[in-house]
Amino acid sequence: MIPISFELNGRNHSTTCTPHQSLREVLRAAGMFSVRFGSDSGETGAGAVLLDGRLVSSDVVLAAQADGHAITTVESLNTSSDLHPVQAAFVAVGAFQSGYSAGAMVLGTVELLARDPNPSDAAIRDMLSGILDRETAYVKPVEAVRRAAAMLRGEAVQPFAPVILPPLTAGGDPTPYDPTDLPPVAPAAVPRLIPSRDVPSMAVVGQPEIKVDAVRLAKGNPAFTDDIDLRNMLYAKVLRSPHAHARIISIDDSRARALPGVHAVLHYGNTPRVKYASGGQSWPNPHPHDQVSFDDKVRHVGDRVAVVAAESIDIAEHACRLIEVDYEVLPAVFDEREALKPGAPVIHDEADTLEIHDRERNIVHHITAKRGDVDAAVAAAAQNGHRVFTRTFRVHQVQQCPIEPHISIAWLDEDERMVIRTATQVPFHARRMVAPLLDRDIKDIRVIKPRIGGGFGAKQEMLIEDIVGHLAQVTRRPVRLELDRSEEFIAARTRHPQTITFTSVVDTDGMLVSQDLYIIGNTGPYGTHGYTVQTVSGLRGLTQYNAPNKRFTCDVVYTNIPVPGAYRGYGAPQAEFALEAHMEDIARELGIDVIEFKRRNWLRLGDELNIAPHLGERAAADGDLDEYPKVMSTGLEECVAQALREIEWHRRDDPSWRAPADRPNIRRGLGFAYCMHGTAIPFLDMGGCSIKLNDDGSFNMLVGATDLGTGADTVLGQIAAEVLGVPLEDIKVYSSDTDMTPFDTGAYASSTTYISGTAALRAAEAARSRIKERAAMLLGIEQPCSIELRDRRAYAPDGRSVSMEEIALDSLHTQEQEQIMGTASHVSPECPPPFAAQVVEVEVDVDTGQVTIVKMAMAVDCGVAINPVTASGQVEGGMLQALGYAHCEEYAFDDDGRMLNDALGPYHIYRADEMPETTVYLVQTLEDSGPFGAKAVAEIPKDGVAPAVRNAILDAVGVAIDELPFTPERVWRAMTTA
Amino acid sequence: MPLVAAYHRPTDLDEALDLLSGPNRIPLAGGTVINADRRPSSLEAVDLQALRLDSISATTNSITLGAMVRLDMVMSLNDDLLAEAARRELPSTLRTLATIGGTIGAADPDSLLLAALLVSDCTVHRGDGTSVPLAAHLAEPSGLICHVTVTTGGASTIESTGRTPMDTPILAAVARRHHDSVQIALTGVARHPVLVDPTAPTHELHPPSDFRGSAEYRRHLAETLSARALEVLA
Repeated sequence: MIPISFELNGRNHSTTCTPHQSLREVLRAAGMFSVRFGSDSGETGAGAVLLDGRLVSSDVVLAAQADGHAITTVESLNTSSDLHPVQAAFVAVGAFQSGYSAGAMVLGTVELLARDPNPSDAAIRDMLSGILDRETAYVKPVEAVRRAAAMLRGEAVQPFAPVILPPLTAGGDPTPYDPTDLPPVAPAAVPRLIPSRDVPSMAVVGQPEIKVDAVRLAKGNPAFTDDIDLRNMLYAKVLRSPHAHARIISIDDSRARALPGVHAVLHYGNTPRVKYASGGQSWPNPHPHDQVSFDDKVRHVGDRVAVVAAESIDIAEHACRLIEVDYEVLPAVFDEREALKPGAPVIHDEADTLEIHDRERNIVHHITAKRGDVDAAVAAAAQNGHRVFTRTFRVHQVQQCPIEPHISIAWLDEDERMVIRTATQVPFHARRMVAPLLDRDIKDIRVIKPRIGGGFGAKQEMLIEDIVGHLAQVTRRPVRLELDRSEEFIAARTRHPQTITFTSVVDTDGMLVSQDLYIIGNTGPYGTHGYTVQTVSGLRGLTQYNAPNKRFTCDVVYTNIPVPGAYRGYGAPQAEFALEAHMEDIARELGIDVIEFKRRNWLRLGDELNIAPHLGERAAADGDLDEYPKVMSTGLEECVAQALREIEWHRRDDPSWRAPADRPNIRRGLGFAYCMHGTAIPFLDMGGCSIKLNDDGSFNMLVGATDLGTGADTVLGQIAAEVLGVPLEDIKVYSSDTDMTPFDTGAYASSTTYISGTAALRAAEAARSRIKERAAMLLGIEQPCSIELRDRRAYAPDGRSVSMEEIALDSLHTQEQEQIMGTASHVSPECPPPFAAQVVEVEVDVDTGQVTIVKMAMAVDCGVAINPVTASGQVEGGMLQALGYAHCEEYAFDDDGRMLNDALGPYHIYRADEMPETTVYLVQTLEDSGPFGAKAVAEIPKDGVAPAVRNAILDAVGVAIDELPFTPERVWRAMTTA
Repeated sequence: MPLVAAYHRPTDLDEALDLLSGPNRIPLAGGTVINADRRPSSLEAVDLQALRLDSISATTNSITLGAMVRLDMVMSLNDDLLAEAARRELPSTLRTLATIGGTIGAADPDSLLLAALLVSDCTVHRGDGTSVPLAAHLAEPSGLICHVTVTTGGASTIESTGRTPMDTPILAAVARRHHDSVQIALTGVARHPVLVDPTAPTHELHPPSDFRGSAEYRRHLAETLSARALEVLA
């Protein structure tokens, strides 16, 4: 060990370190929990600190290098309960979502403003270039730095709130595009809100409230899974397969076990073989249950082989290298089109995996759904003068890339119950699913979800909880397992690649007669979300346009790629890329304006969602239903009008803009995509909530819903506060802990605001009802229903009032004592669709194929945005991820299935200093089935960027590219061969 | 160059050279490459931070940079090409650690800064007192880099193609004109950036293929971007 001494936040800090220990590790050991792990290579910047005043990634600084230097972390700013102006600025504009990298952003801003009190946007973005963010698209962080600079210069700043705009349309009717009507001028971070006359003004709902967890995030307080210290903690490391497909002949773990400091080595030879499916879904998990904790066969590079628990991560890694594994390497297959051909390697040949549709062809699921008769429509097309269009698209594998990797810590509590503190989107599913693997009853397991550093579906999985559970049981000590960035790529979850073929029949009026969709979905070696993601692809691909005849056919296929699973959008981005590209091409073939062609066919108010009930886990058979769900709210026409104005759509017709004279190698184009998504899974997603009144008139609200940084806790609190007539600060939200909070299916399917929000609404209404009765007693009023709650008081019709505190003290301490509380849960029969219009502007270098995205704008109808700032943040972040999907992100493999770019540098996710201009419009509608009129917003921004970019490239250079992403060589080859 | 087994911090050049003469010793500059690799090894790091190699001195047409001059310091130089290449080399949280010496030592084939140094007539001055052109050092690296001297001024440009604006370019043509002479260095075509003949940039060039670009595409980019650079500097 090396003795080191450095100045830490102004005080001398002396300690020891190993030669290779990073500064980040030493700082966290010193209690600086704001310094967080994103990757060992320092690319994420989550562990950035000031070293002698410079912003550096502490991941790549040896602790020994820091000897004699001055280190500053964000904890240095936390000298009182007040926020530093920089922290306050970030909070005010909603710049933190998960807040996992909050410390780095705040420190970077402090450093920047110290040397440049009035930085340009370029300087701000350059500072943020080293702090990767998958959540905000950097829009609001840039605004936060601007605001902080103004505050520190002593300038007055205005409250951060949406710009209110008048509508451009009258209801659902289109309005002619006016090229002289320019878009509003406002900072990009400010959401443009177009209110609906149907929506009343409210005190808390619809307001840009500060997030309820803002202070803890801004200060970098210990809030995340890894931010605890447990005595006698052991550290786990997984030995992973170097082969894409192999049988394990034998494992010799004797040398690993003999290594001092090793406490357990687990593998297929000493772990019970309990079959399961890892997708975090409702009971019963869809078959096949094709996984076990440790198997005698590996099916992708990175698959589990064994795990070690040891006194340190170094020892655990060393022990992994001492495990001797004898493999029989088997042929592997990676492409879904190859995997279902005769003679392809059979990936699941074991006898105990049941309910595989066609084992020999690797087809795990065969999915069908239909309305009408597609074959008849195609057969009759020629004689009816109809046109038939067929096109095949290929979409690729990408990763969610939450900056916080998967991490779980398990221990036995004082009653020897298993406690699992874990970064999960589905704590209740995880508890239920891990129980049989650990041979425990559900009641003997407690799952705690702290703050989560981003999930995006990656954590809708029971991914590593079983490993730490097994190890904690065997060692009877706390065990921690955190995936490194390479493991995140090869051993966590990804988006499903697909081969998608659309066949559409269009009549002479440009109306769709039929749409036939065939998808080969690549689910990798395990089913997990394979069935449900592909059904959503079918749902999304066949719902947003009207056609009397529709058919969905899908083969979900096993391969040997790293495992796909849930990823924000959940099958929609794949299908909507193909659909919106296909519709663009048809319009061009028919010589119809693309928006006009889509408008003739898109869903309107009152139209049936005519294939939706026939897809999903509880699908109805064709002919079973007398009535179909309908579109009950839509702001699509307004979205389209706002989006076209924002992107200045008329520039498509300006030759001098399209081919700028001063840049002869550049062609410009604009692209459009229409998007429609769902809001929760009807009859399946359920959330619970309980609310209790405290002595001072505040409330504790317990929810099972899982805030991943989305602002869910804030939104649910706003709903309750609106009902109870109190400010948001009086609602103390706690989520989620399987011992403490009500059940919730979890954070997925765009369900939290709609489902858990309705549960919060009803729980608050239950509490409100009792509060009114108690107020009526105190005020001597006969009719409690005449009482109105507002401003922390209960008002009688005659104007007399009692405070919420007086009601609380009376009910808890004075007369007929009781705990006022409300409990409710909610499941919905509806799935109201949000709608959106996505537009992009691109520049294409005709010599190199390089595509530059200049601008993105999305106008979204999400019903009533409970919090317009957090809602717009969701749209911004969703577009960033969707941009990566369209433009640069992709898994690259060698011939043996080894990933070639399993690090954030070569994989490349968008940085702050290269983001296009990004603008969000929120078009308000009133969805009667949602809490205060809300629909979903979290996933729809994933759907439109890829097709809009594709269509913009087509507009710019006339080539239609049907494969993602639009990398320079792909575009160049398309132009070369066109 | 994986994770180190021992750490040394010499306080003068002689001590550093003595330490580096031992087996399995590697110089540790900023650490962004060496410390990012977590594979264990028996290598011992010799940290150069106490050697006072972070000075910058300038004349009318040249600058001498200590090996431990960081990239954020290069960004402040009065030379557009070097400043821009340093900015694009690494993001904000890493360029405050990475150094000129470390950049040369790592010899990243995609390094814009190396290409910029190549077209700036960079001379590498080593701890043993020898000096060689950077191109020669990259071809046959040896010795401890103490400082480098570059020629500045003149017109310059970076022409590049990447997946995104700030992604490491698939290929870049970095060019500087001094008087009537133009030098072009290409990234992404060899095991380190190379100077090429501006009139025949793909002569004897055998670019690699990888997932970001095939050899054929890289040859096309080499021609296109070199021509573009010449046009800009014409």
